[in-house]
Amino acid sequence: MNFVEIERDYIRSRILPDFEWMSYTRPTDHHPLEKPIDQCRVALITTSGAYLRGSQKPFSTTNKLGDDSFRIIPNDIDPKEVALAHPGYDTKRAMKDLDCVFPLALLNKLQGQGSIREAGPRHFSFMGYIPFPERLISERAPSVGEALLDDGVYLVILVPS
Amino acid sequence: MGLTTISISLVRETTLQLKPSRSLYIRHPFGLTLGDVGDSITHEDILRDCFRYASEELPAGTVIDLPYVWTKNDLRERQRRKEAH
Repeated sequence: MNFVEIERDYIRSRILPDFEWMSYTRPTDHHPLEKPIDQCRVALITTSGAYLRGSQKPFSTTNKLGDDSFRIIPNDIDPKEVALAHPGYDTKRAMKDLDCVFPLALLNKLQGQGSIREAGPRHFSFMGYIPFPERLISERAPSVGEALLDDGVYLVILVPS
Repeated sequence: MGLTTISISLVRETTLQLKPSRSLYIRHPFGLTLGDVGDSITHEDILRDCFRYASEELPAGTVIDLPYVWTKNDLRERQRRKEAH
């Protein structure tokens, strides 16, 4: 069995008997980058379960229905303020080096080197275990997309974990 | 006006099902998407690859296989068998 089958059966046997992966017949349209990358504002979307310790609620790691909420991570925060909550991987490793799953510091370093115009003013964090993604698709993701457009972002990099 | 998106993929099979607009497939473990703790060179190389491939003209749904492979141990294989976290 490949990973998709193993993971599906794991979720079905332990959590949700009727779980099935989403699938699409056509790819999402690609919007070409309108400017050279060094003239672009760039933002991150991470599914690492990143949140701000002390000021934001951690993602649920125990709800069998997952957690489709998201957290806004301002670009100007100290990465040390970020914590991780995710049931699908060992967060202890990435907590030693956040760039492994949420390259916030690295993106700002590359901004300083002129590789991009600048990092967006805010980034967006989800927790990747979302077995029922209907609300994510109809409400959460569009609202994040609108926020990114409001921020004048041209390129969004989606980083899973 | 619209957003250009580029997605990193750790699981080629699910990426082929979901068909994001453009993906970069990396054979790293879950939780070490851009590479090992402290491997800043690989982290930067991968982020720069995101910049590079976002700028290239390719059909929607293209999955690009990047050369990054986890060789440190069998963590990725064990995660894919649900034997490691």
